[in-house]
Amino acid sequence: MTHEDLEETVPLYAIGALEKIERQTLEAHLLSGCIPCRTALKEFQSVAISLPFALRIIPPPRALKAKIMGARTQAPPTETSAHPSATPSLEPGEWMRHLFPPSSPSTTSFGLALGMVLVGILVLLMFQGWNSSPRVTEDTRTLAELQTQVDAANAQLRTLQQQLSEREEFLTQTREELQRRMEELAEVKDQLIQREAEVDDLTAQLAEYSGRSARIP
Amino acid sequence: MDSTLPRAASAIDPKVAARAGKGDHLAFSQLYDQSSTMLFSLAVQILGSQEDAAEVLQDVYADVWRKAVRYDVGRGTPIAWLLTLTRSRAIERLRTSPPRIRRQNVSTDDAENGTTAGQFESPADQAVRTVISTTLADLPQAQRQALELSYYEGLPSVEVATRLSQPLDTVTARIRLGMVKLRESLHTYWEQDKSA
Repeated sequence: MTHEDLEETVPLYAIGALEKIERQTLEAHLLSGCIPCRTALKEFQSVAISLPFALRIIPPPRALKAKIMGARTQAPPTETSAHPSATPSLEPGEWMRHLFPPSSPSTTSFGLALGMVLVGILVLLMFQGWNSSPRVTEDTRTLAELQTQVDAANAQLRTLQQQLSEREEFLTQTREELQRRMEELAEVKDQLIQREAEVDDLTAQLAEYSGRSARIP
Repeated sequence: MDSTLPRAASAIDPKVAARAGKGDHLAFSQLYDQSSTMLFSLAVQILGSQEDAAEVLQDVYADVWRKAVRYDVGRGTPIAWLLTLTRSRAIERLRTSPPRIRRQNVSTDDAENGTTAGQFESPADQAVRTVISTTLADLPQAQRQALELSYYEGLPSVEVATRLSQPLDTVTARIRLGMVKLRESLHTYWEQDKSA
């Protein structure tokens, strides 16, 4: 495609009358740095933007401003990043960021949140629709089986937990019993030491007594 | 300046648009006052329904307020930015809406017959209106029709050709010629305005 061919598509691009492939071809050409085409596009963009000035003037309903201002005060501004427009016509490419008005984003954080809510509603509706579908009997049976399996697993888990608890209690009792036996053993040991001391005492007394008897004529 | 006159949509202060996007309530209110009539007229023209047009405007202004879209002073005039946003949203809605609310063709021939134009329009906007309306009126009807289908319905030239049952080359030539004539008229107006 020659430069003249491309130049002829500029007004069509500006008004949004090009097909995707033609649009991409022209954008590639503009990206290559063609100043005359860029200048022409800027002028034709101005023409396109001026078209609504010729429309019959229809003032918005008086209540609309209050509605918009009210919605605005309910939702404080949040910082979101700009996204390229989903609408191709009049959409300047990234390359024209500094030449033409910015384009509308297709998604926003608010849109994302709203989308999530809508998805939630959709899932709910799908679930309801699914319940009312002819497959409901089979699916309900499968669900009941799964529920039974979950209940059985839960019961098994509860039994294991109970057994574990019993084991822990038995271990505690055993430990306490061992502690008591150790204390008794220590007491017996003390008594044994005391008895040994008494025996030593008695042995000493006996020896002394035997010595005195031997000195008596 | 006469404060009773409506402020021109074509002369919105870029600083007002920038402040509106930064949470300035007064600036946002002023931006609405200066732009809403023009945006609403465009949305009604595309959608053919005031209710739908009002919803589109709510979306556009909500996005401006929430900074989902951001005005950059270096990237064009505020009204050009807002018109582009509104047109995109309205066409998107037109494409996804059920057939019952598809727009009715509202010709810009009605522009000259608007009885409320002076009441809601600033002299600056009226001047642009006169230039565009006069040039459009001077265009052959086939050229004007092709232009309007492209701009107000977002149709590529192939679909315009199908809609009008005309060869594609003929339709693209008509759109191109119409745009060139409008550019010439605007050039003349801008030159006169600059020298005035």
